Amino acid sequence: MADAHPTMIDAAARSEVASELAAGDGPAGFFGRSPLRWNLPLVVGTAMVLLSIALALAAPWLTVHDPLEIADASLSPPSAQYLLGTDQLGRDVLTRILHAARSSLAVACLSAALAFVSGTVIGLVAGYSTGLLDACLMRLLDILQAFPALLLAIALVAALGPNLPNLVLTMGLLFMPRFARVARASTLSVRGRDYITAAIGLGVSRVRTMYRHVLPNIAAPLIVEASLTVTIAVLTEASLSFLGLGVQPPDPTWGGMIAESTSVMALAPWLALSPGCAIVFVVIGFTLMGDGLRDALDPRG
Amino acid sequence: MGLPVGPQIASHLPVTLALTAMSLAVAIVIGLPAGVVAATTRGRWPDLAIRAVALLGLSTPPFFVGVAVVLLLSLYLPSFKILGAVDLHHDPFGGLQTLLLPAFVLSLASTTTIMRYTRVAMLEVLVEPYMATARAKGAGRLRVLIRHGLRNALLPVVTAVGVTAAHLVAGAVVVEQVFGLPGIGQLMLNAIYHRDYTQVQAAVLVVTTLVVLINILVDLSYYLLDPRIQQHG
Repeated sequence: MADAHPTMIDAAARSEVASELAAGDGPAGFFGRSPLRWNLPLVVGTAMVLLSIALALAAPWLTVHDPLEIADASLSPPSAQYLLGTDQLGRDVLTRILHAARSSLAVACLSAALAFVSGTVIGLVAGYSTGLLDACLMRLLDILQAFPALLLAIALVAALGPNLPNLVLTMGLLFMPRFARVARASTLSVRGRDYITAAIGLGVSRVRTMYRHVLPNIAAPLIVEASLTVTIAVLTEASLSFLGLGVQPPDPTWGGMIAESTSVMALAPWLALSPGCAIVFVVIGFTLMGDGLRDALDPRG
Repeated sequence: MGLPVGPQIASHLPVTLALTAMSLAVAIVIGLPAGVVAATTRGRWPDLAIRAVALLGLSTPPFFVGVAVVLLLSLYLPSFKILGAVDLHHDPFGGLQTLLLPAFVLSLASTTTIMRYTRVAMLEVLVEPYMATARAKGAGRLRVLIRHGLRNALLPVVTAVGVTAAHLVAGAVVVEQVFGLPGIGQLMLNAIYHRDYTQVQAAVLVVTTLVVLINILVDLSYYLLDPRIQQHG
């Protein structure tokens, strides 16, 4: 990405004007000339997301127990040995939550990434080509979006078989139209700009124009969409695993742990509480990060 | 099992419909005023409180809230009827009463969505000159807010209602499972566990048709809400 990209200068100039206009908005360009203006939700959200990902990645080294290891006591309340207690089979809940984070975040992030890449390509092509191809692609997406996502996810995962690759594929397919729509709308607004005409005039090929000149200029809304899609992906994965259609037992999932806890709810309320809090923490983290990114990247402020 | 799919759907659909409709009503009744209050107190504590609760509501999976509510009520209010059969044909009032709690739980995300859309739409309308004009000619605060403000902010809110209705129908599948309600969701999940794909397909088809119908209704309601749309076809 060239430094002197016209829209980047535009955006920087506008954001400087915007922050000068907004009273009480710190000095413009505190973090240099980066187009990203840091704000509180962005900082808090990013910290929460990084913490969750770090905990998930480090799970095997952080925990002394094994997620499938069966201790002496089942349903023991939180104690020094088992910080969040044990479940009805006597497995350590904290260990299982950290290991469940691996599969939950993997499914959520991979499906969002799949949707991001495929949706962006489709939206970019549709928005840049217009005409028949655009109409066909968009009608296909309309059909896909007519189905409530969660419902189609349940049916597809049930038909394909509940495992990690199928979850990622299904959810990636279901979230793809979101990115395609954002990418198409942004491409439409960018394609008439002078620098695109200049690129075409210089003899740059269509594919290269889309990749080098359109894509960098429509990246901001797509990144915001990605962050918000991960929150929906985490919630969808949790719903699916709650219904028994996520990664299969004995491997732990947050939704699955809540489902298992319902039968012993009155005896051991902490069983449902801790995986629920884990879901809420991750979703709030990604939501704040998405909202913060939107504020930080939107030149209109 | 060899049973025809149609009657099965017909016997399970009313519960899902009632649950969805009640949730939508709850979402509008709570979400709309909350959005207006948040917009009028922008940046002050009621706005911040409503937005904080909204963030929490949007981030909590409904089945977790459902499980928590069932747990709390069964521990502290054992007499409250939470789970159980719903017979809308013979005992419509009792049936709807049983559906009230699940409807609240299901409505959480929709309430939040409606509130957010209302807030943003109201914020845009509040700075319009006609609001000041209405105040200047002596109309009361509340009247200006509702007759002049909310009336003009309603279009995006109706869009949100349409979007959220689709989520509600799908979310009903999960909430029915938490509360053991005999709706389409339960029918569909039982069909999945029995590998009865004809039943699954029928359930998905019916629910999707329902969602498409809701969206058509929302599109049509634009004509009622905004006379300008009619002129431009």
